[in-house]
Amino acid sequence: MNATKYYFIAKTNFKNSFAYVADAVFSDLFIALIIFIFSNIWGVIFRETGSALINGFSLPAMLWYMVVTEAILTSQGKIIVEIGDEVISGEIANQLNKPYNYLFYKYFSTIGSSLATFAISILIGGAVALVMVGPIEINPIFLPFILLSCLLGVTLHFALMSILGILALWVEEANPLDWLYQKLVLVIGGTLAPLDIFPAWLSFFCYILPFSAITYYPAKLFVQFSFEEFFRVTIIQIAWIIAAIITAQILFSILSKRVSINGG
Amino acid sequence: MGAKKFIHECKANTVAYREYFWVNFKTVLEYKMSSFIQISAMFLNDVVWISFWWIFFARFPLINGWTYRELLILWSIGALSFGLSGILFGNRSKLGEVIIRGRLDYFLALPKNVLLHALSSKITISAFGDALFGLALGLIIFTPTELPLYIYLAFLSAIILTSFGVIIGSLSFFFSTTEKVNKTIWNATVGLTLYPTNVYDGLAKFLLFVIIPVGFVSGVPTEILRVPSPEGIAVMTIVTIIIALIASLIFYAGIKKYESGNLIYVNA
Repeated sequence: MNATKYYFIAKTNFKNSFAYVADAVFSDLFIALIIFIFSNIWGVIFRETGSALINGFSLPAMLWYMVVTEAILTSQGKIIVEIGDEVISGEIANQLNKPYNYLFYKYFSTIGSSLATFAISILIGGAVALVMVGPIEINPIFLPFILLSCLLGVTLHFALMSILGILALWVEEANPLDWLYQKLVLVIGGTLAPLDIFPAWLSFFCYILPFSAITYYPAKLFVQFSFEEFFRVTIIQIAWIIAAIITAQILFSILSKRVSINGG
Repeated sequence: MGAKKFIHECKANTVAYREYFWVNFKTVLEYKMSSFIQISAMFLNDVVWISFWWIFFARFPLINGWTYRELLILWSIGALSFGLSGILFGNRSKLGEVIIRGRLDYFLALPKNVLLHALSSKITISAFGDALFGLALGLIIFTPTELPLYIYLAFLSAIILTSFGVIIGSLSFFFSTTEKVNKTIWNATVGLTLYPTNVYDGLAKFLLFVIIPVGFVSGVPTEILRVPSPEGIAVMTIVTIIIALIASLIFYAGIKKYESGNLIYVNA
């Protein structure tokens, strides 16, 4: 694989994503709103329980955790629908004769804008969290490790969405797959609330499913960092990414054989 | 306008709306598998949401006086009203797109009510999933005597939600908004209706119930269904009429600023 072309694809896309900064900032209104809503909900819960910590999370930690989960979840856009529509319409045939791997091209052509969206979401969501519950203490030395974990989360998110996008060939509808997948990451991926508050039997299943490696683990590292946990989470994330990429490539090779080009 | 002419217009628009609805509904029936997948996926989507809240309320059984039952009432109203507005006025979240792309020309050229025509020219298929979910939940949590009030409030909420769609879409008449901006405002509006509304106080409460009265979509109906009162029902009815009128006024004020896209468009 010639890595240079993928680097330039990502770089170009990253630059393009700043062409519509106002749109991107406005789109993050939704994240700001969700953080605002949950700051009110958690505010009431902390007040009513009268404790400073809930399952090890303080009120600021709970909100900042959510800033990170939301930023990861919304960074990638609707990859399932994008790939699914190309697969269903047959447009994907145009990509098969190009000198690149389609899935790698798709990843590198979105990762640039994903990183830009992630950064803007952290800034806007963080601003709301700062106003509503105040700052959170982070050792700057940990930040590169946390960002690496977030990047791995975003990558796994992409890999799982590309699997579902390819599966649209058989389901013939991409949007429903997207709705259900997003909700699974929201709930059992620990985006809306940390898995620590779930009943033990349920959190056990959530921990071992790949969705938690997308949002829960990186966000928890952000609010409760330890190197031991970082290495454990990184291994889990890389294992899931490899498994997802292999599955996506196998499905894509099956898909490629089923594409019939009719011209036009 | 004379009373006779007004009645005649109402009748003509009702006939046109009915015909439009059936044509759109036939599309749902035509693509059976696609419709089935969209409807059942949306139903499941809503099931996942209330499952999250079940987990949440299992850990925190009482949040500012609300139990899981209040949350289910909120969702039954929210899902049914969202579904109804998508079925009856399927274009309510796409009005901005219609305006931006200059496709309003098509509706302006016809002799029927422009707003009603533009709103009802589409059915959102997945909205059937929301409506069915809301209704199923309503049938489980309400007694037979509570059901008529629940259905009535859901219809009012659907009108309010549609009116918000009209107001958001009409922004495109006055400002150079993009489809993405319209979609974000719409998603934010809908999003606000599906979370507990009893946790706000002060300025936030004033904003949600007075300035941008999103609270009337699901929050106020939930309180009325908790403790039914004639005053509550009357206020909800009046607020619905006022919001619908404001939406209509803004839309028709915007039409005066509308510039045709000079687009040749086939509405097949």
